[in-house]
Amino acid sequence: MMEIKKIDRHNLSDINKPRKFSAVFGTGMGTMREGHTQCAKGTRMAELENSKPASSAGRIYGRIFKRSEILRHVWYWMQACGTGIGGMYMDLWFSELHTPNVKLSIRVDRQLYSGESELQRIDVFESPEFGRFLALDGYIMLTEKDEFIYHEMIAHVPMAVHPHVERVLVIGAGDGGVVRELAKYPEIEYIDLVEIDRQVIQVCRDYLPQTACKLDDERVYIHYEDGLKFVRSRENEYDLIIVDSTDPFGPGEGLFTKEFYGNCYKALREDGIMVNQHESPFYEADATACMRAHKRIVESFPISRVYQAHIPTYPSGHWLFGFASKRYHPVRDMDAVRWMERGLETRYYTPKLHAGAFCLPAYVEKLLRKVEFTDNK
Amino acid sequence: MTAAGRKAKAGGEKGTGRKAEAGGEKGTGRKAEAGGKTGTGRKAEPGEKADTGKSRSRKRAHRRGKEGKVMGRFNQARAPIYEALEEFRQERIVPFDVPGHKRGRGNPELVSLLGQQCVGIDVNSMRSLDNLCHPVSVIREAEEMAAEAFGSAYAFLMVGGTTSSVQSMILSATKKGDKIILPRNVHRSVINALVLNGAIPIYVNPDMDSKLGIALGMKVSQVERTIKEHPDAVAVLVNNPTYYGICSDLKSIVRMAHAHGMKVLVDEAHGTHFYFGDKMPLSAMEAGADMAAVSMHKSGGSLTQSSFLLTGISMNPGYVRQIINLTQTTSASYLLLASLDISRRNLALRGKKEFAKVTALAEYAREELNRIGGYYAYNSELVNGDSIFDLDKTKLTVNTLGIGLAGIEVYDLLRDEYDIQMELGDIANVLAYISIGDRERDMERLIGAMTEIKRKYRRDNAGMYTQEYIEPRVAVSPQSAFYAEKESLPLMETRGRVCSEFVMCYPPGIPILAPGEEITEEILEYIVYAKEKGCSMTGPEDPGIERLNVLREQWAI
Repeated sequence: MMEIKKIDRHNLSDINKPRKFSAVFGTGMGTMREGHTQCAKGTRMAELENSKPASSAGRIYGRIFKRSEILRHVWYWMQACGTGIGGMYMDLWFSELHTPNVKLSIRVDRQLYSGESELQRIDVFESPEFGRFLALDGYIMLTEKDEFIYHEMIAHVPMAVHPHVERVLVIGAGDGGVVRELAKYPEIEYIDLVEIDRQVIQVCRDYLPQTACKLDDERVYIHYEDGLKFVRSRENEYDLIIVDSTDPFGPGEGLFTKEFYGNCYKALREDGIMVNQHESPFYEADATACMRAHKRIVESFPISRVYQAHIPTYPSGHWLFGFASKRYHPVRDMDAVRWMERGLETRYYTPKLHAGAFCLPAYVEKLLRKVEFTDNK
Repeated sequence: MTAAGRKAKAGGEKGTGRKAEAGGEKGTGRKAEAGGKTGTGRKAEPGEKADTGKSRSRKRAHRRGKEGKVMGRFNQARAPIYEALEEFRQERIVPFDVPGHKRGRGNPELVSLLGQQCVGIDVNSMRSLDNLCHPVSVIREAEEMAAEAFGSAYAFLMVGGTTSSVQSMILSATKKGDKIILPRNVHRSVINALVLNGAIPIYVNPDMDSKLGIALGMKVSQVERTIKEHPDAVAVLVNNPTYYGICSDLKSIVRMAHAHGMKVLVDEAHGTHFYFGDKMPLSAMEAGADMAAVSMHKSGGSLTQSSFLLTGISMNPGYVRQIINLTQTTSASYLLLASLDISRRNLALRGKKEFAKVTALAEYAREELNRIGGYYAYNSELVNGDSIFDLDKTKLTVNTLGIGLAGIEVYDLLRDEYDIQMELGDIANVLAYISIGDRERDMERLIGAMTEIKRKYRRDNAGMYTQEYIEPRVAVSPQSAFYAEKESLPLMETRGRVCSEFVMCYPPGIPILAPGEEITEEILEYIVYAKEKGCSMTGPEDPGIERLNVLREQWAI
């Protein structure tokens, strides 16, 4: 966290130098110098970076203005120069390093929010291509354009399998996307939403109404607590647990542990299902996390399968979900007819895709098999 | 953190403690050092939030002094060794001295492991950096600042682990043939020192809590009786606290020992935080002890192997230094020294707050673990005013017999199944060392994992042992046993013989058998059971502990 602060203080301050940006607009889009808003941490380290080293003047500016203020400052200044939003965007980019050698960059129109909670850094940006997007510690959590894929796949898959879901526990998911999908099912009696970071929920309510819209549903009970702590005191209570965690480095770390999955097992009723965000199989670091998670789930649940979806803004675009269950098989026990009869409107999920999503590429199957059969006691 | 903070600091702080300290100093050479260096090193100091207001931190140092400690001669926000190293780094000296890696250039793999920052200050003693064997400038200053922070007359920076502090303490206070009174649950380093100098151990048998299976502190009455029986003893050694956080009535023991002309040596390997936290058990120096070995690298946050030896006014620091130099390296690592310096500063400035946080974390975990049922994380309800005079609340010791598992079994499960490393597991308990580096979310992982272990692995607890205190029978002095003619016998054939080596579970590293002690049926049973449960046993020449070295027949009594 400290690192992030330090880097961006040094570098962002440069953005504030009028000289630089006058040059930018004088030369036009094509020859603009790179003025990046780039983020990453660990392997994808978070920094708001400018290609030029920070000058001492820049550093002083950096101290006088806060991050968000700087951007606002630039923004006002641009408008004062007569540059409207309509015709042209700044050459301001958000980048996330997907590996130390690969990055995804999204042109940013403006930064709507930047803050630091006790646990992590929270940013919301507005972008021309993906609409608004939320980043935690520099990782993109969701964008308005592609969040439907993730949320539909994590919610409708178990809902189409389990015949009578009444009580649901959702861990993480402060953005409200999972709750929005679940709220479409009238038979759900209540949803316990456990988010460790109060500020994430507040920021999402303020800036991301598209996903946060159902957080005020009367069936939703929000608990601001550590997910592991919440679940360890619950026993035989839920039909469905959805683990919508961040990556396994940082505050989300505890949600990828054996003790967590074991406690989830205990918190589920005898035919309960747990679905979790399962990382990506593609890049090495993600694949390692994916295998570790899978190994621990296999050890904790009798049925454990993995399914996939395509999420453009996540590393490699190929993302996995875990389906762990005490009784129901994710494909054999799916009731397509019943689900179709509900008449729910979805943009990604269909019962046909449901079955297909469990068919994995050969290399992924191999990856998972590796941990399913080795050191299984 | 910021350049601004740093500047303000360097400006406002001019010459605070410096002059005063130069005045009070008896050494020579120092004054020149202090004079020539003013201001420079200071700039390099990272101005952290807590110490930007220097006058405030000085005041705090004043206030921090508990009963009678004179504080405030030094500005505890300074770190002379660290500052000298920073200055040294900027001087870009060309090294034609050791170490041969020459700031890492000769060993790129080492640099990629440790980083340039680290190998760049792995340097040898030189004029600007002082010399640990005969400190006159920055190291001396760092030692005096540490002494002030700990409230001792003098403090020695130690680089051979707390083992070296403990041994220097014993070698300073005893010599061949002298008797030293000590509890049997001492660390092996204590008995090692007796092997070195030939002093004779007089054991005070500690009480055992049979339910928890841990040795407790020394009862004042037991110490008194032992002193009466051995009025010629020269010193008493006390653990403050034990590995499990249990404290004896140190003040009464000190009073009694001093009344009989004996020195009091305190093994405070697990008690660094007593000097800085609030509502902590009494520290050795506050209790008036003569020497204390303080493991700064345990709860104090410095690098592994760095430690402090504290002395009271009754000890001659010059003599203690000579003793230390008998066994200490002449190439002390500046990484270790700087880490001691910085950690002392950290604790002097922020220790109170940090340890309040540590205690709160431990208290929280205890409450939650006790709520699970089956586990017993004990707390101050155990305090009985004598053998448990006080309890260190930062230690999280959990008795696991209630779920039918030995402590060591839970320890192994946590490590193998849940990726959680505990400090120790013994026959009946696991111990989590909670320190200034712990986070709430990690506590949740531990509690979550313990919940799971109970759900998945609990057993009927019939047939579980608790550790019993086995009273040792000292046949010959540790030194004569160690150097005597010996033979190696299969473990089960050693009954009745005198052991010439250590046998212990590590951790905690408290000997089951020490050189010179008779091997009994009980002890053999215990060794076999501990091995069976998977305790990591160390000490004997034979690593598998199938055989033991014993004294040849004619030596046995």
